[in-house]
Amino acid sequence: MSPKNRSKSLRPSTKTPKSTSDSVKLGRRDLFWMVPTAAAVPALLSSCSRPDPLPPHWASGPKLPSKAGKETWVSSVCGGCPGGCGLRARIVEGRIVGVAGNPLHPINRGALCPLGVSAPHVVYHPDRIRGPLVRRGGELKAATWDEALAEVSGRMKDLRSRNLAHTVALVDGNRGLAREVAAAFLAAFGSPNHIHGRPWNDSVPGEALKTLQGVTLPAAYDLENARYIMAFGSGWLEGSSSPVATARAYALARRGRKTDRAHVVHFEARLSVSAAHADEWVPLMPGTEGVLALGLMHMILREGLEDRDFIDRWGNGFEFLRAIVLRDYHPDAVSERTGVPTATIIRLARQFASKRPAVALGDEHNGPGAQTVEARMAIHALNALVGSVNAPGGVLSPPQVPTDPLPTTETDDTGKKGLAMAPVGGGRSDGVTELLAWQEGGGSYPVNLLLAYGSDPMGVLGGGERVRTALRRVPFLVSFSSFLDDTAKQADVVLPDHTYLEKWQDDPSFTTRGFPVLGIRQPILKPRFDTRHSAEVLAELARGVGGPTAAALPWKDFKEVLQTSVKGVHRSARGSLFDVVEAEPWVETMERSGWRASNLGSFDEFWAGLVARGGWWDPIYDFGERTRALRTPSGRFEFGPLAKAVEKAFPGAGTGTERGAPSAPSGFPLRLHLYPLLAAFGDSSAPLPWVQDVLGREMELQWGLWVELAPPDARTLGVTTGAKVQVESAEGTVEARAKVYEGARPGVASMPLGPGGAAGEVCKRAMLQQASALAAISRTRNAMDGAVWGDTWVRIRKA
Amino acid sequence: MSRWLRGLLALGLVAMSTSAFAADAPVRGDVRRGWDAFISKACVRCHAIWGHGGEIGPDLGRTRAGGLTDAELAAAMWNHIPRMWDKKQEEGIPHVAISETEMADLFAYLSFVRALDEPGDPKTGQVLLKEKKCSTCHTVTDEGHGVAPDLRKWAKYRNPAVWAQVMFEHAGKMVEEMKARGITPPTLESADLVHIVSYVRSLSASSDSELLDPGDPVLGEKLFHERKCIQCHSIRGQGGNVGPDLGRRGWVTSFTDVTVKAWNRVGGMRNAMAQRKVEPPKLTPQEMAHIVSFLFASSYADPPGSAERGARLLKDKSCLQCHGAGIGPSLEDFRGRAGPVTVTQALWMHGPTMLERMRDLGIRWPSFTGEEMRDLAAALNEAQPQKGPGPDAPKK
Repeated sequence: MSPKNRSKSLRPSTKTPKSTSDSVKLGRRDLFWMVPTAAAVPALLSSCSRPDPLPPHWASGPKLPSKAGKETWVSSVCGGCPGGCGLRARIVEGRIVGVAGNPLHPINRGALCPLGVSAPHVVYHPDRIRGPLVRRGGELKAATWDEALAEVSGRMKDLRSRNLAHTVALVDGNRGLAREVAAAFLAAFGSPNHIHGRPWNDSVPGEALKTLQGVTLPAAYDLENARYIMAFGSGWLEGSSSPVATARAYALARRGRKTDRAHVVHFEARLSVSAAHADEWVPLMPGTEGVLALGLMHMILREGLEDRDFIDRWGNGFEFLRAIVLRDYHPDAVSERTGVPTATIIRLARQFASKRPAVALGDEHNGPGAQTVEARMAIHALNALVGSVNAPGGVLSPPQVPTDPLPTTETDDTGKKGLAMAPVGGGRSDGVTELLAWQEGGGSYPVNLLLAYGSDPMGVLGGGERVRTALRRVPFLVSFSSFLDDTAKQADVVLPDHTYLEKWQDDPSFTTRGFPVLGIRQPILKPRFDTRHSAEVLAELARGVGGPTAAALPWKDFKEVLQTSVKGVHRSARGSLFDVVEAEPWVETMERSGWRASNLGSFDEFWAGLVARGGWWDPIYDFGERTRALRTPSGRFEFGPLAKAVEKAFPGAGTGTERGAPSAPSGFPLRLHLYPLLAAFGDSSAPLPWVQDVLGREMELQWGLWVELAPPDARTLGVTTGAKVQVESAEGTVEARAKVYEGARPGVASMPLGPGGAAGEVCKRAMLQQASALAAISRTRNAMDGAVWGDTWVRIRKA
Repeated sequence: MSRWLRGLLALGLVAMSTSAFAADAPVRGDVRRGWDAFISKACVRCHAIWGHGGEIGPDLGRTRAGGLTDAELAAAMWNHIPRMWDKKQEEGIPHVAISETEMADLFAYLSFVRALDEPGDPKTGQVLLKEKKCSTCHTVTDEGHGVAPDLRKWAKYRNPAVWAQVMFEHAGKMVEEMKARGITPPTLESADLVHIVSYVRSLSASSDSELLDPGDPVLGEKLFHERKCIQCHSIRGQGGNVGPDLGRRGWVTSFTDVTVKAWNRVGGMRNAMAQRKVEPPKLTPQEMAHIVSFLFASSYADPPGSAERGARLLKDKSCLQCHGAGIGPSLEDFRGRAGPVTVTQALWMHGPTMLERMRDLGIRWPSFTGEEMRDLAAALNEAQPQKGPGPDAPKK
C-alpha cells in the first residue's frame, strides 16, 4: 500500500458519512501504523506498570487484529474533559484500534488533544472496576447488581420512611440529560441536595457571571472576533474548559486574519504555553489578578475610556464602583501589590480600552483556578467597561439547545417535606466547597447518604485531605465511578458506570462564538465489563425505592430518554446536523435572513443523521437578545455587587493595610502557583498511561510530580533540576522533583495541576493531582469564598 | 371569450413565460441541494458566497445588483470557462462531474442567494423608524403609547416575506389611521426595511424567531393565480392591467425589495381592490414567501429566444465548425431540452476537452450574451443546426 493510500485508509473521510462500514485488508504496514493506537494500549502498560510486572488479568485484554477484518468508523464525543470534542473511533473486528477527531464537529473540526487520542485507554484500562462492589468487613468486595442496588435502595427507602429524604445528597459531575435525570430522581425522592460536582463551569455559570449578569448558563468567549485579548491567571490556552476550541479560536484570531491579528497580553507568574503564545507576557504575583483588573479599571475610568453607551443603557450601580475604584486602586498601589510596573498598567489599560472588541479572560473562562469570586468579578467587569458583553468579540450567552425537558416530576407529602428543607448546595459552580462547609459544621442537618454521580468529590480539584476527612463523616457513600478513584475507594457501594465510549449520552455545549451544540455520544463498542449506565442505575434505584420516585423515571433505557429529548431539537426546525465547515455561513446567513436552512428531514432521518454525523448545532448568535445575556432582576449588568465585594475583599488596596505585595505567613516563603497542562487536563486523565508519559516531555520525568523554581530561589534552597524535594503547605506535604526554570517568577513555586484520583491497582505510581492537596480550599481571607488556591503558601526542603 | 377561458389562457401563458425553471430544465432546482452541490463539487474552493469561501473566483453572492437570469448566468459561465479551467489546473483542483439535476440545483441556489439582503444596521433602522414617522403610531419602548401595535412584537420576524404578509394584512387599517391623522404613508427604499427589521430585531426580548422554508416559485405562481392577484397584475403582459406588470425585468432587486415595492403602493392597491370589491387575499407567511419567490423569479425569467437568430449564431460563432462536422458531438441531443442549465451542464462536462480541441485547431473560444444564450437554446431545441464553417474557421 502506498503511503498516500495508507493515510487515506486510516483517516476519516471529510465527506458526510453515509455508510460507516467498509471492509479492509490489513497488511504489515497497516499494523505498523496502528502501533501508536491499538498497540499502544498493551504497549503502554509497560510504562503504566513500570516497574511492576504486567498483571495476570491483562492477558484477557484487547489483541491486535491479526487478519483482515471489518472496519467501521463510529462518531461520538470525547469525555476526557468538558470540551465536548467530536471524535470518530475506528473499529476493526469489534475492537477500537484508533480515534481521530470528527471533522464535522464544530467544536474541534477534526482536531484532538492528547486526552482525546488516549480515549481507547479509558476503555481498555486495567484498573477499571469490573462490576459492583459492596463494602463488607471493611473491604470492598465484588457483588451482584441485585445485591448492590438492594443495599442502596434499601437505605434510601429507610431514610425516606423516617422523613429523612432530604439527608440524601447527590454530587453531580454530569451535564445534559444525565443531570436532568438526577434532578428528576431527587425531586421525586424528596431531596433538595443536587450539588454541582464538576470543577468546570461547563454546565452552570461561574459565580461572578451569575452575580453580575444573572445568567443561568455558562458564557462563551468570542476570541475569534476579538481584536485584543487580555488573559489573567493561567492556562487559558492549555487549560480552559474547552482547550481545543480555545486553541482553534486563538488560531483564527491570529493566523486566520490577513490583517489586524488579535493582540494578546497574558498575566501569569510563569512563562506558560499561554504566556509563550502571547504578544506580551507580564509576570505577576499569583492571586493578585483581581487587584490588577481594578488597577486597569482605574486608568480606563480616569481617562474616560469606558463605553458610556453600554454603561448608560445596560449598566446598574456603576457610579458606586467608579468611586471606589478611583479612590483605592491607583496604578502605583496596584503595582506594589501585583508586581506589574505602573507604566505597564497604564499602557495596557489604554490599549485594552481602545482596541475593541477587547475581551478579558479570568478563571471564569479558564475553569478551576486560583482566583476568588471577587477577582473574577473584577476581571469580568472589564468586559462590561468596554462594551464587550453580548457583543461580537466579547462575552456571549449561548442559547440553550432546544431539547425537550423531561416530564415534570410529581412527589408525595414525604417528598414535599424533604424538598422544603434548606439545600446543601444551591447549584453553585463550587458545590463541593459548599458541601465541605456543610460537613465541617455549617449544616443544619447531617448528610446521611451521598451519591457521587459522575463525580469524584474527594479527589476533585482543590479537594485534598480536608475534603476526604469531611466526606468520610457521611455514613453511607455510593460511587458510580468506572475507576477506583478517591471517592470510590472510600465508598460503601460502588455501582460502576460504563466508560464514555460504551454508552449513549447527550453532550450539550457551545462554540466560542456562542453557537449551541448538541454532541451525541453513542456506544462505540459493547461494555467490556459488568458495568451499567449511571442514569439507568438511578432509574433502577428509583424502582427499588418505589412510590413517586419510581414513577418519575419510567423509561426503558437512556437511549429512549435521549431520543425523546432530541425531538424538541427536530421540532424546532432550526440549525443543522453537523456538516462541513463551509456550511456554517450558509446556515447562519439563511437563519439571519429568516429562512430555514434545515437539513433535518423526518425524525428518523434526523436521528440517523445525529448518530452518523455526531450531532446538531445552530450556527447563529443573535446579539439583540439581551434578555438572555442580562438576566438580573434589573435586566442590566450589575456593577453594584462588585463594588460591595471590592470594598470587602480588597479594603483600601491603595491606602490601607493591604498595601504592598501579599505577605508570606511565617515559615512559608513561597507563593504556590498551580498551572494546568493540556496533556493532564480534565477529570479522567489521571490513570491514562499516554497522558502520564506525555508529561515526560516536560522534564524527562514521567509519572511524577515536579515543582518549578526561579533560579535565585533554587540557589537559596541549594537545589538543582532533578533534586528530590518536599513541598509543604499548611494543608500537607508532597514529594516532587525540583525544576529550575528561567521562566518562573522569583518568590513563586509553580506546580502542575492534575486531576483527582487515587493510584490504581496497576498504575501505582504517584500522580500529579497530589499538587492540589497542597492548596488551601476555602481558607482565603476573602469574603466570598470559592474553590481557590491563589492564597496558598509553601516551603520547600530537600528530601 | 369567456372570463374563465381568458383566465385559463393567462395562466398558461404566464406559466410559459415566467418559468425559466419549467421551460428549461427537466428537473427543477432545489436551493438546499444546490448549496450541498456548491460545497461538495468544490465550487466553494474558488468562489465565495457573502464573503465565505475561496477568493480565486468572484463572490457569487454579490454579483451585480438585480441579479442575472439563468441565460445570463449560463453566458457568464460560458465566457469565463477558459480562465476557470486554467485556474483550476494551476491550483490543482480536480474536475468533478456535475449532473443536470445538480446543475439545476446550483442555478436555483445561486438565484436564491442573490435575492437575499446583506444584514441591516440597527442604528440606521432606529433613525429611519423616526424619519419615516413609523414611530408616530408604533411604539418600540415601554414609555410609548402608540395607536398601532408595539413593533417589538414583530421582533421574532426576520424574514422579509413575513413582514410583507403582516404589513399587507394590516395595510387597510394602517392606511385609514394614517389618513385620519393626516400622515402621508412613507415611501421606503429596499435597504430602509432591512435596517428597520434589523433594529426591531435588536429589541427582541426573547430568542424566538419565525423561520420560513425558502419559497417555491412554482407554488408561488399557483398561489398568485388562486388568490386572484393575476386579476389585477400581469406577468410579462399576461394578466390584469390594473396594477403594474410584476414580471418586468429587474423591477425588484431582492426579496425585501418585493415587500418594499408592495408597501409603497399599498394605498393605491387597497383602493383599487375596494373599487372592484375584491377582498384582500389571506396569506400565511409561508404562502407569502412562495409568492415573493415567484415574483423575484418572474423578474429574472428569460423570455423565449429566437431560433432563427440562434441558428445564425451557431454558424457565426464557429460552433458548427466542430459540432456536426465529425469533430465535436452532434447537437441533436439537445433537441427539445436545451436551456441554460442543460447547456451549462454539458459545457461543464465536456468543456475541458472542447477547449483543448479548439486550442489545437486554433479556434477562438466564442463568447455569448444572455440573449444570445437564449437564442442558442431556442435553435438547439428546434432543429438540427446546419453544417458549415463560421467566420472564425481555422485556415488549414
